[in-house]
Amino acid sequence: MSDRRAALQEGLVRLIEEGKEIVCVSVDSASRFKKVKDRYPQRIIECGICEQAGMGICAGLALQGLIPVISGYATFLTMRAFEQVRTDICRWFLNVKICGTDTGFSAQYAGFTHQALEDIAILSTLENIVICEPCDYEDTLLMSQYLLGDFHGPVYMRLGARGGEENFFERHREIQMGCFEPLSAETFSGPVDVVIIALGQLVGVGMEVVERLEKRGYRVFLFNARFVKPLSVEMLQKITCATSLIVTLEEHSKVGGLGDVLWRSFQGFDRVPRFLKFGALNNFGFSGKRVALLEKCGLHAQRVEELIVRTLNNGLEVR
Amino acid sequence: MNPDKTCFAASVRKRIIEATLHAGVSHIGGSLSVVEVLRCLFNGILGIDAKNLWSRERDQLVLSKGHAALALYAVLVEKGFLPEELFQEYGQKEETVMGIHPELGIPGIDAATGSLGHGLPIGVGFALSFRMKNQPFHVFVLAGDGEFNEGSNWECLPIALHYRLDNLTLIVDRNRLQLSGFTEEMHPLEPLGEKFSAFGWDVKEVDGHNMEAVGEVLREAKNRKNGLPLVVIAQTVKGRGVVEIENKVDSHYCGISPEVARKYLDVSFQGGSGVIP
Repeated sequence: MSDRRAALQEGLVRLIEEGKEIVCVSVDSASRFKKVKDRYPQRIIECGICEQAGMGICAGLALQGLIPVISGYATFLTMRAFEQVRTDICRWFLNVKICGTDTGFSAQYAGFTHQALEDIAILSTLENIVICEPCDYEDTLLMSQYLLGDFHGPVYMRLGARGGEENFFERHREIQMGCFEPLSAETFSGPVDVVIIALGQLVGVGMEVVERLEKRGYRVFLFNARFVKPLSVEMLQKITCATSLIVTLEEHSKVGGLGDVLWRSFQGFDRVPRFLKFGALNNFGFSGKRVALLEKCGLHAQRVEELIVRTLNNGLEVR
Repeated sequence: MNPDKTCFAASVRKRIIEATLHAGVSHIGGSLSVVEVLRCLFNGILGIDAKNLWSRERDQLVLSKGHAALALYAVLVEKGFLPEELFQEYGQKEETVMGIHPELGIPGIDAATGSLGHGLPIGVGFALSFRMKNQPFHVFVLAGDGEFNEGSNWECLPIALHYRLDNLTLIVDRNRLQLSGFTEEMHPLEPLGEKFSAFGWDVKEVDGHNMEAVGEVLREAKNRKNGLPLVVIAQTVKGRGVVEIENKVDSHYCGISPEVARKYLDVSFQGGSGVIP
């Protein structure tokens, strides 16, 4: 299995072997830590199905200098334990790592109770916390090393379900705090017709859209977002100055996700290009196959291409 | 009774009354009910002194009922851990770190609290950390009884049992009142001790205003090695020492008139209503 959850386990084992004082906090979610549990069982704390207590325990562990990593369903970690995240962790810039799984539609038939489509919106109201989502196995390994091991402070990392994930690249570029990973070239340079910023596994849709648009003669640049918060202002200024359209793709509600965080970041900029935001409907989610649910929300290459072309051609911003 | 003990507790009470008078209002009831417990913790139980004040390598106290911070501030200033001028900021300055609830950054405050039901999880985290790092320190969590309405507290009980946290002692300030009424008339807790017992915890009950008894039970608590988490249910009186507000619902958050305050701030005052020590 080479999905992002497997990479998290591998990343944690590496960090422990480097001597980092990682403690894995399970809320009846020990499958997220299986590799750690097999090799270093004393590094696992099992809290049972208790997100609030689990999050508070993380605060206590972090105050004592350990690096707690809590992982479980993103919905429950971000909603039921939100107050602990805010009051006990973020307010004090504690070194707690929250790895929310089953984000977007990846919980599939588990339906709206288990689909995290508002997690970014909820947590992005909080100062201090880093919000990020790696796109594949290798990217998760790099981000685990950087954000769980090297960076000191609260982190929320979005991950998917077990299995069924795509791997896009064998190697990724070095992580830079708050910076998107350029995929179309080593560094970003304009001018281009459209910049696409894709979050997580939607990098796959982004790649397909790029291929389609390039065939039609458009100049396109694709980023793997990696970060939702913070975002490098310098990077954003460079992007806004060099394109006539920015597109965001995310497996999250269109309300309060990457698109909205980006839009808020543009405040005060001299020049803001046209902007298209693709994401889930703001209606809690549905039961079904992930691909079908993405399709239902227009999160597929053909639809994204169509709307980009229409926007570029007549200047209409289409919802 | 050692007169020094009474003297310390009486000074703490006076400080609470004086600060309430100056601030106009405070959580005076729940502050006065924990005076003896805090007095005992800071005089011979917690291994805390001026040298290790900012260290994490010592016993920890989590005041889960953060609204009683005024009592903790008063104890800290009496101990010489908190500067007098900082204490005087309580409810006085336009902006201050000395708010109603304790924040990190104040000398002697080990955890920022105020939102009920948050202290015990943090305390369990401390105890687990000491266990993992093989450190010999003890964690005391002082919680309100009304706070046991919160589910997050009950979530912690099986966790502490599972990890056999005998380096954790929970003290419940059983003053039988919460913000808007008597606990048993609102959200009944009894039989509280039996409930903790059913969760596998060791349970001790003590008169929370009897310093000899509180001191003894906390000393035993700190030295135990029985593999069981322990709750000490301290039977207390909300507003203890100020007879005008004792055991009154309104004592949760109220002011005190200059006339009433003067009565208790008199030098001969040794604890208020004359019932204690």
